[in-house]
Amino acid sequence: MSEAEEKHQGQNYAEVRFETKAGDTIMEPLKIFKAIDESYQVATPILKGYVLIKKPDELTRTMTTTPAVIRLVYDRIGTLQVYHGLTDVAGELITLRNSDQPDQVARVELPVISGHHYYVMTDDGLGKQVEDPMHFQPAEPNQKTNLVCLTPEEKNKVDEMETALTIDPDGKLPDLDDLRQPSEDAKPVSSTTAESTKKSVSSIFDKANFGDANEEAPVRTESESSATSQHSHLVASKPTSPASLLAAALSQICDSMAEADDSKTVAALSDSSKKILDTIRTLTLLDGVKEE
Amino acid sequence: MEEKHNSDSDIEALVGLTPVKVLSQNMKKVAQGIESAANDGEKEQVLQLVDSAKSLLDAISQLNR
Repeated sequence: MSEAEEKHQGQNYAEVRFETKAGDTIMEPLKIFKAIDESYQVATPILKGYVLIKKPDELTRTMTTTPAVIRLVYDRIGTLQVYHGLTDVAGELITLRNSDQPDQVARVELPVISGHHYYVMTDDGLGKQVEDPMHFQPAEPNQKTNLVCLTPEEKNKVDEMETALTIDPDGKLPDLDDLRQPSEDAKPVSSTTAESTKKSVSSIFDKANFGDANEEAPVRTESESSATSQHSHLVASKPTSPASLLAAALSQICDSMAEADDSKTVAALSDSSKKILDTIRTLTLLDGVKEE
Repeated sequence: MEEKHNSDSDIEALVGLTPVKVLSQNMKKVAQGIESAANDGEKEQVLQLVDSAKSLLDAISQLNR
């Protein structure tokens, strides 16, 4: 055996793959050649527009007798949306960029506004206050991060609403009369966050009282005159169950369906009606379970 | 004269009456029944009416095809 062959036989390689979560290749794999039993380092490059989300626990490895495959998983960099106050509907989209770390995005300098603080918006409402707005770094660089900039008064208002709208552990729905005022105060927040992130306090109100009836909202507005008056009557009079509110909406949809001239509209209204009926059934069954 | 006008509009309404319209009007009555039963806390009745409404919806869907 020649010296070159001996040398070749004592070597092996490791292949480093750069993939997305779905397993798609982002760039050509790299091969690291080393003598067997010799240690080598897996580099985690910064890929423009991507952030590293998964890598092996150990990046210093030893060359084995069989070729190793090392997968580095990257995801697209997320976005940052900043809403200013309770009336900002659109928010400001801030583009996140690569940092000098493959698994983080560059820090963002948020404008410092006197008497205002930034809060992270989570699925449960307002999250933590941003401690250092000049150097904000999203915790999940590959996700959409939403921030809202509020005064202490606005923050208190939202906190009060969150407390008022929290459904009791025994499953009781919040009292509609108690909710009317705060929900009206914070309507802008609801449209801001419900549309873009579904994280608003007001959307909790919607869900608590109407199930997932948001989809039916346009239908309600079609026949708004009588529906609105009926609804306000129901809210003004005492304890109206969510199921009966939905049934009232359903009867308005039936009017629209009877007036519809084209089959597409009928099909759409029929679909909405089915969803409402399913929601009524669920609410009724849940109510029954609660009583037991 | 007015009577004739009324009977003309009645005829127009009848001519425009389609099975889907009739079923939709029935659906409305069932929906009102659900509303009333839900207000009264009649859970069993609500569930029965929901089933009836679903049957009507299925019929509407089939006629609409």
